[in-house]
Amino acid sequence: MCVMCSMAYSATGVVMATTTGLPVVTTASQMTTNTVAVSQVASLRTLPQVLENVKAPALREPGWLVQQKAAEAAAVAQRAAQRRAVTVVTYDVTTKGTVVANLAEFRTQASATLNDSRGWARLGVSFQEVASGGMFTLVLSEAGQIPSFSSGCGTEYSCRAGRYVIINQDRWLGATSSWNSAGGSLRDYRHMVVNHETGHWLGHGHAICTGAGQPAQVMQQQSMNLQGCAFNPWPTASELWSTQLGIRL
Amino acid sequence: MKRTNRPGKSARLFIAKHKLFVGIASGLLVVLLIIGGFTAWSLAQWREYDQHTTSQQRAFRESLAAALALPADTSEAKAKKRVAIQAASTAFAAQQRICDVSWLTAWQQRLFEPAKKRVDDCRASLAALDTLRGDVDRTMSYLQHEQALASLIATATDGANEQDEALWQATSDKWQTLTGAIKNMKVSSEFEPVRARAGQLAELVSAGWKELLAAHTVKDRSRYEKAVGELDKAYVAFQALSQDDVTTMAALLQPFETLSDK
Repeated sequence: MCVMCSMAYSATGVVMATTTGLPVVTTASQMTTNTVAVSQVASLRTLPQVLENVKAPALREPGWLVQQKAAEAAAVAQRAAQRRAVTVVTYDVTTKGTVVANLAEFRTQASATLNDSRGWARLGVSFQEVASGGMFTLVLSEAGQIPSFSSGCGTEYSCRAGRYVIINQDRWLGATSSWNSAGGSLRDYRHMVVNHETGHWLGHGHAICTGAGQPAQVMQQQSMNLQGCAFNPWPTASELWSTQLGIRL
Repeated sequence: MKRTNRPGKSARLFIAKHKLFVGIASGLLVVLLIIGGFTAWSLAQWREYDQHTTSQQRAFRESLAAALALPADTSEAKAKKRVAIQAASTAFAAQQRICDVSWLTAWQQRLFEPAKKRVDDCRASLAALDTLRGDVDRTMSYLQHEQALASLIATATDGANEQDEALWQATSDKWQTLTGAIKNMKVSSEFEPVRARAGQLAELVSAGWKELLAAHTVKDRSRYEKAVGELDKAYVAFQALSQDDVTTMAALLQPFETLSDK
């Protein structure tokens, strides 16, 4: 019997071990990469598409803001209109002391400077010479007479004292040594000095050079020292305001 | 004196031995036939076991693959596909005893190594597929929560793209409702980070709307303009929720990269 059992055991084992057919199962190690399945599952997603459509709505401005903006726009337009309206600034011309310079030329050149499109006329004003009673008085003065206008005025340079815009006859005729040695022309100096002193009347103080090589502001004391700036007889854009005339930048 | 035909003593002994031999031989033959028959039956049982376990597991993979291959280009198709995947998973979940062996042949695992190996292999593979089924279930659960969240969000954002002040209160209310609804969602642990983040971001948008309305009420221009900027930022942040979702989803999809396509 034991022999028979042994034979049967061996036979069963051998037959079972060699039985052909499909593998019992596909084991985990036999699994293969299947990126297709990943995309197939991912295709079921709904949130990304919904989130893609989540956008802040374009907000129409509320009525009160529209009104505020309209009021602001109107105010801006009004100011612009006011600026565009030409303000006439009148001035009269006189002399002080012994004047040897050509007064007619002085008048002509001063008027040309004041109404030049590069000058204070950019404020939206027009300078008009009148016989008397002007808003300011342009004076061509003998150098020695200038201190008589104000103790703050000297004989060397031009000056402004109250309503008087005083041009030093010596400077009118010969500019300054620093100007001349730097190669500035007499006509430009005349533009500069008329603009500078009129600038004081308009409400400006003195300015300093804003940077080497930059055009000097007309309110810089260019007669004395350019401070590294370049000659500039005309007011710069930042100087286009006047407290005297109530014009803001 | 009459002689009888009775065999002699030695002859009777011979006959008795012969009968005994025939009897024993017949008995052995019967036993051998029984063992042989049982062996043959066992082999047939094991072959059937092979075929049955293999076909069951293959059926799961195939039904899962077929469900995954279904189109998902519309919301209806997506719903149909989800149902098919879930059905494949549920069907396989009911097959947890496919590796069990009848008691008539189970004892053979202790005697025959090939039999034991077959059962062990079956169980190992079943465990791997069961893990995959678990992953499928988790992913489907995640997608279900994701769809629920998407529906809530879609409801809150279905307003006009351009809105005047008359609509702002309603839109603000929608976002507040959305925030509450997201907070009340009951989700799986896998989806919880996305739900929590969505709740925070929805609250941010809701707060943005409230601030806008407050600035509008008092007609404070600078406050209003600041609120508009903050609201825009809140929407952008909310849209970025998809990044959180992508990260979480990528981890969930990883098991599908090893899904057998055989």
